[in-house]
Amino acid sequence: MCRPSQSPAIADRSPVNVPHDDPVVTRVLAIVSRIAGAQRTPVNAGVETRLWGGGFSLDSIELLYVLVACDEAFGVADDSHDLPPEALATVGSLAAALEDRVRG
Amino acid sequence: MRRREPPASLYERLQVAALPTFLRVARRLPRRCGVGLVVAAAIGQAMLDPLRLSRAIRWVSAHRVGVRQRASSLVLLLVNRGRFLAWATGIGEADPGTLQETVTIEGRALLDEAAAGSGVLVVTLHLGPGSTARALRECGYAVVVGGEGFRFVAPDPPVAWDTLPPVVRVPWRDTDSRATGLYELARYLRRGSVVVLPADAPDKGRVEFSLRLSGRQLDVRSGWFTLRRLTKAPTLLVLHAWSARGRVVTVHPPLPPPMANVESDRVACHAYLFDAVQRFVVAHPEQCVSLAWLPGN
Repeated sequence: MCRPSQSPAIADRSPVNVPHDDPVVTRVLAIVSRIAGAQRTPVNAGVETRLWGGGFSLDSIELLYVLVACDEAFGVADDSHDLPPEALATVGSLAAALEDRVRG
Repeated sequence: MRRREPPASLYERLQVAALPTFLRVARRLPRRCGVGLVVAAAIGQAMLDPLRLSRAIRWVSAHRVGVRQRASSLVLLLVNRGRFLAWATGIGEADPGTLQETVTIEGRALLDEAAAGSGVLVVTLHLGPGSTARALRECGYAVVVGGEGFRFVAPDPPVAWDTLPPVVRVPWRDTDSRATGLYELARYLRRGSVVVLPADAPDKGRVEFSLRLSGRQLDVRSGWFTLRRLTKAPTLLVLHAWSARGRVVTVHPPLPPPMANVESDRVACHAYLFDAVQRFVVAHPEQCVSLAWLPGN
């Protein structure tokens, strides 16, 4: 049994550093909006929209579905490093973490 | 592992603050004295908590008939509450050889068969001595355990536990860490690990369905159900109980494979769990400490 490798720090993944027209952000936004449904998708949803505790107001199970859907959409390898909880703060932080994981 | 949220009342906060020191003292005592001290403290605490004591009385009244039976059942329940805490924190467990002698496993072939081809999701409940993951380690299984931890700072595990097969803990505290924790467990399942997850954690996670057991409703959480559907991993219910000979780990036959229709799947899992848990409750009402003692969800 091997433990997945630990994630690097995500200090530079502030949503403000991710451009709004980033294709990764667009895809993440589409996935999150699909799982949240039209009623819970904020009108001006974007990079800085929170995934839980406001914004999309996803619960932990919905966030899990988002992560699995993102893995499939972006082809994240099973042995990629762990995802820190902080990555689930906003659409932008999740997009940045995904880019990081896809790059390996 | 610690929860982020503090306990509600001042009385509870005092208890949580005092518990680590108390447990460290109990740990240093000989086995019988250590466990006896924790049991005595659990009974004493129950006497000072009328709300929970009345809940426990209602529980035994639902399962036992007659004043004498109910009284002895209540005493046993409170004793078991102390034993539960002692077991969870390793009081009086210096010798790993002794540990493994006191546990037997029924249905080992079911678990071995499921684990032979893939990862296995083991669903547990806080019944009997609890800590089914550790009992499985005593039976020779390396496990990955997910869930919330204690509300208090638990003393370091006894050195004896280091001789057991390895354990990986995936703790969580709130929404985001619970999501990444479950995600991590899904990856462990895909890699072939035995993942142990309680279905009745008293956290704030989503409730999948409720079991209307005799004497109490039990809310069953969504984490294991979702992992089972996402990973298609074989899922087994494993319960842990005290017996006259020691402790018994019972591996139940696998839950039905996930169905395409979520509602049908939920109904099938509800029926499966209700049958198994109700049988445990009827057979061992005094070992259902969390059901008898903790507030409903």
